[in-house]
Amino acid sequence: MQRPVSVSILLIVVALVLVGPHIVLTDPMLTDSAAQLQPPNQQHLLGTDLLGRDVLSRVLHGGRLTLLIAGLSALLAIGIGVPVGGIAGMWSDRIGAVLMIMVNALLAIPSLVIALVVVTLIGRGSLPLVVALGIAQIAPVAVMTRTAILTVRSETYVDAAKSLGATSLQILWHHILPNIRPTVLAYGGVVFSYTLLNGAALSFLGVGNDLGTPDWGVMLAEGRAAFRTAPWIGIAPGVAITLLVWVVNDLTDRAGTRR
Amino acid sequence: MTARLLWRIASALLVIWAAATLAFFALAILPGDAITNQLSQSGADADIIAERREAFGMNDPIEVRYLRFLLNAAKGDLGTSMLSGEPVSEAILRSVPPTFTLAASALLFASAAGILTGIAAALRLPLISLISSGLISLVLSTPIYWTGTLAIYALTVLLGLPASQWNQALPVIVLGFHTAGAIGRVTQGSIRDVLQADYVRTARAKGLRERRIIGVHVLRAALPPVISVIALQAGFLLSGAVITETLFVRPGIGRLLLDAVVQQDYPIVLGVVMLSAVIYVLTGLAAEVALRFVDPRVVL
Repeated sequence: MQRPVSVSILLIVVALVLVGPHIVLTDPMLTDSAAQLQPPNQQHLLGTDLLGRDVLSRVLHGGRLTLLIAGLSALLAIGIGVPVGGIAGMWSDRIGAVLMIMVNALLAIPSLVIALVVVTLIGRGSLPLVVALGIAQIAPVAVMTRTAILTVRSETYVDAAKSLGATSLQILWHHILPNIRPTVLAYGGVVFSYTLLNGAALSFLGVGNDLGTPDWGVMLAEGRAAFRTAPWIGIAPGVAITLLVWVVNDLTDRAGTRR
Repeated sequence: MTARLLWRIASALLVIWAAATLAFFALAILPGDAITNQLSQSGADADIIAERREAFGMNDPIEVRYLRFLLNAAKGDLGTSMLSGEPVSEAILRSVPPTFTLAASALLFASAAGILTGIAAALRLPLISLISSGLISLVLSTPIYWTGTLAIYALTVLLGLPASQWNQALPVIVLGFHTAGAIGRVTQGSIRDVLQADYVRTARAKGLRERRIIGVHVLRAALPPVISVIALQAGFLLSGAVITETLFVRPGIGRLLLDAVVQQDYPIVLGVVMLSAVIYVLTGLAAEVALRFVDPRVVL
């Protein structure tokens, strides 16, 4: 896909999610027993679900929550993963080895188990979902940061700074961080995609957001159950997730290759 | 060399230990457990619940339980299920074969499909590259259970095929399809990088045929990142199996884990976590050995 195409799709999706709820005023939680499982029509442009709720309104209102959850969990993963990976990369002998064993242990635990622990401790809902999705991505972010730092650390300008007497912290702050920032930012997009897809997977397995919440993952899981009789319930959130992840991946790929 | 190898083995064991420890304490602080849930639902008195928990050793201090868990696990005893009383190792051994068949076939399918699609996407062939690249992007941006649902719908409703004709192959294809996405993307990127190397220009200048340049010079040099991503995906297959087995209602490790998670049957959860850690460590080691074979410059 061409870059302008991806950028415009991303902008359109974000605009729809931000502005849409102010245009489509139908309450996404309003049930209507007279209008259950209606296929798309003039009153309900994308049809209605099992409880007669308007699918269009749910996709637009739900988008905000979905993007917020995926974005916050990506921030959580980067906020913890980058410092951990940074320390492991800069002080790679002792502290680094210990940190990497812990990071690998976290990677080795299935994310479903992490989600279970979080959900059982603080209950189902949006906040637990952010925590569960974020924690599961800390380890990959740390591994990526460490690799990026190890690559940069062998560059000649780092040696030069070292021979001029710069301390490790100065080198990290002035020379290494500015150089790995593009890689980290690009990986942030990847993490966002993962958290969006994993959130949907957790909803399918029954440990995601609360049932009935207008969240694309929950809607997709509900749509799957009714797919034979009412495919339109799942198609709208399904297309929304795929489109958004597609353009985010496309943009991060470009950012990553334009080093 | 020997010291490095010993350190590799030691750190592999440490990773398994750390994963088990992390999971043990994380599960230990959770409120509720399978015994309490089951008995209180069936209306048993508090006395009986306390008695059963006592018999399970759950009233001991946490450090005692942790040491007991470690010592027993070192001897190969992972305890028994809180619900069925079946030894955890037996429940796992019973569930491994179907998941192994699923995961191994999916990985084979994914490696073949991913590498081929990745090559097709990296070359500058007019339409084929565009389609392959689009296919990889599509796979990477669709939740796995959604592809499965669409595939089941297409086969049963649109084509009218009975489940008996596809229920063995489809789970493999769906799981493999998703695993292929990352493999395809990495293959594509790696080949594009290698195509810009000086020796490829030299090979072209010498007048070698494009097929030979790609087949001999480029593919081999582009392989290391592909091997790494295949190993990484192999480690993630267990998570994929949870979804695939639930979607297609198949028995296996994924179902065992999901059921144990929902019922809070912690010994089973811990057992599967340890299995998962062992798989993760082994695939990592296997990838390093494979890398060493492909690229002799790599030191183990």
